[in-house]
Amino acid sequence: MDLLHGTWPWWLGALVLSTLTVGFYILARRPLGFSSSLARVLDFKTERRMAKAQAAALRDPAAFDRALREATLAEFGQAAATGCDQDGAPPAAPAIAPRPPWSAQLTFVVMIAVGGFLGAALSGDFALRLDLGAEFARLVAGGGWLWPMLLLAGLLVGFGAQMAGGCTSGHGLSGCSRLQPGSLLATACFFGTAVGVSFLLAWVAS
Amino acid sequence: MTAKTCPHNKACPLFAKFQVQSFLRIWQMNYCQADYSRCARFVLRSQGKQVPVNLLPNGREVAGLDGPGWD
Repeated sequence: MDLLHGTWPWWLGALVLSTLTVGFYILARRPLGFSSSLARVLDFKTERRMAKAQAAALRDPAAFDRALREATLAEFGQAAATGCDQDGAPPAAPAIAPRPPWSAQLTFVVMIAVGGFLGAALSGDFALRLDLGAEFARLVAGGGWLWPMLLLAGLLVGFGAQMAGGCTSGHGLSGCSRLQPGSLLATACFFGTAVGVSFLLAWVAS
Repeated sequence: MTAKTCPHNKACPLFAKFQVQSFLRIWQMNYCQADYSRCARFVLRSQGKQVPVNLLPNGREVAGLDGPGWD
């Protein structure tokens, strides 16, 4: 079996994707999702701010507690102190799995591009080009319309992923494998639309 | 209308920061065990976003912690 050229058999693709999905969850304790990883990478300012807040809370728990008391009194007034019991140990540590660090998400996003490049390079198919082929130009957009069309398509993909709370990998792989109703519906919608558009293009091309 | 108690009630990381239980309880009574859909932490979590440890349910951040690393 030549894995570098042509399309992989369906069962092998399924095996690789399921291994990736399960492996990502085991390592990161989070569902696999490209759009959420990309969103975290791009929102690096929030990441930095949150890391600073966490560091400050850990560095001086007493100061954090004082600030919490002031904020509580500011919100609820003296009612917060009514029936005040003795100071006690904080509740048990939360059982929430920590998120993978920002650098891990960046690595994941970058390596997707690197993997795609390596796959193309090793197969000998890699070539820099500024179009999507004659068939795409004939059926969808070509010439001066290509880039505006791709820009619009990219915006719609990003907008849709944000609205749906995930993209094909998040809903299609992670969500469906966990039988999440929202993911099943989202996957049915985008795969159904893709099948419909494929038939439409085939009809137009014929 | 939301359920009676926030699903993150038992594991909210903010709770571990409270030293005075009555101060924690009044937040829980007014947010976690009331209409928690207005809790800023719940809203962020529901959107799949990270929740800053210093974010209060009312949407304000714990302030007054001057020093390096706090902005």
